[in-house]
Amino acid sequence: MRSPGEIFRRAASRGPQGAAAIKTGILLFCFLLFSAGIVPETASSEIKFAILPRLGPVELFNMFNPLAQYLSREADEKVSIVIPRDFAAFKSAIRSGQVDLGFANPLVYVQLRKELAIEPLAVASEPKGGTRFRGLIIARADSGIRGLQGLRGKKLAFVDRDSAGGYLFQMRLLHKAGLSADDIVMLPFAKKHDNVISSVFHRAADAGGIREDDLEKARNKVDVSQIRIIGYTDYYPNWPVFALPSLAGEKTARIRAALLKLKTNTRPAAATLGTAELTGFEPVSDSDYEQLREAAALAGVL
Amino acid sequence: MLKKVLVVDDSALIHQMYKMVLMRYRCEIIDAMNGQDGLDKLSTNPDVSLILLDINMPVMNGIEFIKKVMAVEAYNTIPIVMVSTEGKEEDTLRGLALGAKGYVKKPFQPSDLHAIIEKIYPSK
Repeated sequence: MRSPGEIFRRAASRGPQGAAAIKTGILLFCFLLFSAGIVPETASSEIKFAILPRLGPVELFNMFNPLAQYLSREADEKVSIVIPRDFAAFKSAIRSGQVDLGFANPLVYVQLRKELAIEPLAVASEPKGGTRFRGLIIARADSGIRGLQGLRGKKLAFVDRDSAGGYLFQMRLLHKAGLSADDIVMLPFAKKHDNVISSVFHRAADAGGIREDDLEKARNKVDVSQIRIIGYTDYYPNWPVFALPSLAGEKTARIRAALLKLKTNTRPAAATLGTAELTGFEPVSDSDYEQLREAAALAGVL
Repeated sequence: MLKKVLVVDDSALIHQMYKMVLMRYRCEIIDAMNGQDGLDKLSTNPDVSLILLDINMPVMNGIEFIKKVMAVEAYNTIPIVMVSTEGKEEDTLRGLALGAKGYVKKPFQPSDLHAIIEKIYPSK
């Protein structure tokens, strides 16, 4: 078996293609470390930026590395991307102080904020919904369900207990309409937003909860005229970048300033965040997540 | 002829959905919750005539499942159709390169899946 050093030396001897192979090899080695949930020891001056792994490690690294490079330049200190193995490993890395910055969905943020004095620095803006997003409850148009009260006794599908736009938001919407979990039949969690749409479309569920933009994405795959929107949830703030208490105040201020320079739909934001499919960052405070806390408490996940 | 379909997907709800989508074929449907479960079910049901496969699953994902199936002579002629999600084009291409016969994207029209099945098992 060849050692990594031997493999890299052989690759280097093949010229530019070999150099590319070395680069890929090093990157993949880093991904494997991160994807195994290991955060390598580094100089204490390095700022480690953990991304909640909603996609695969290679994909996420490619999406967010331009932002890390930008923050390194702006903060005059190396910022490295860390991709933990899964959501639990992400939370563990934050709790144990292995990283200095985090980027997570609003539910994970409020769960961690309950335990730690993490500080939101900026909220991400997306192409369609901007800095906020909402969920829907959908049913088939021919289901006879016309409003939220029509959901009593019906079989409902949701994405996952930890899904903000595919469960929590809808729980608060139902609560505001005077419905509780006992008034509906909860089907097993569908695990993915696409599965909720599929199960409603194919009548395995009477209704379901999804993110609004997921119905948009489904438009070119199924005949959405057969889907009726039964209710819209409130809007909730998007994913925040947050700093751990261990990050020095001056560094936190520099990172926040750098993020907020990437104003929504500006050229610098496009150049830095295009790969991450974000349009910029905007100011945020912890109080912006109050309604989400209420929804999470109602769903029993906070 | 489509007699027995193995559905490999980590959502129990999706298993229910396939029972409706495949009703017209009057075939037996076997459920598996991940790739490893799928391999276990194959070992007791080697006469499966089609595998409908999710890609992103815990324990063993769809790509690993295809690799394992293709390595076993008794299984590698069973047609596999991937049922993948938006944004996973790279996985879809890998699956096809490994030997999957086709794919549909979730959510799908029943006719999309029926068309692929008809290609594999023409009714006439």
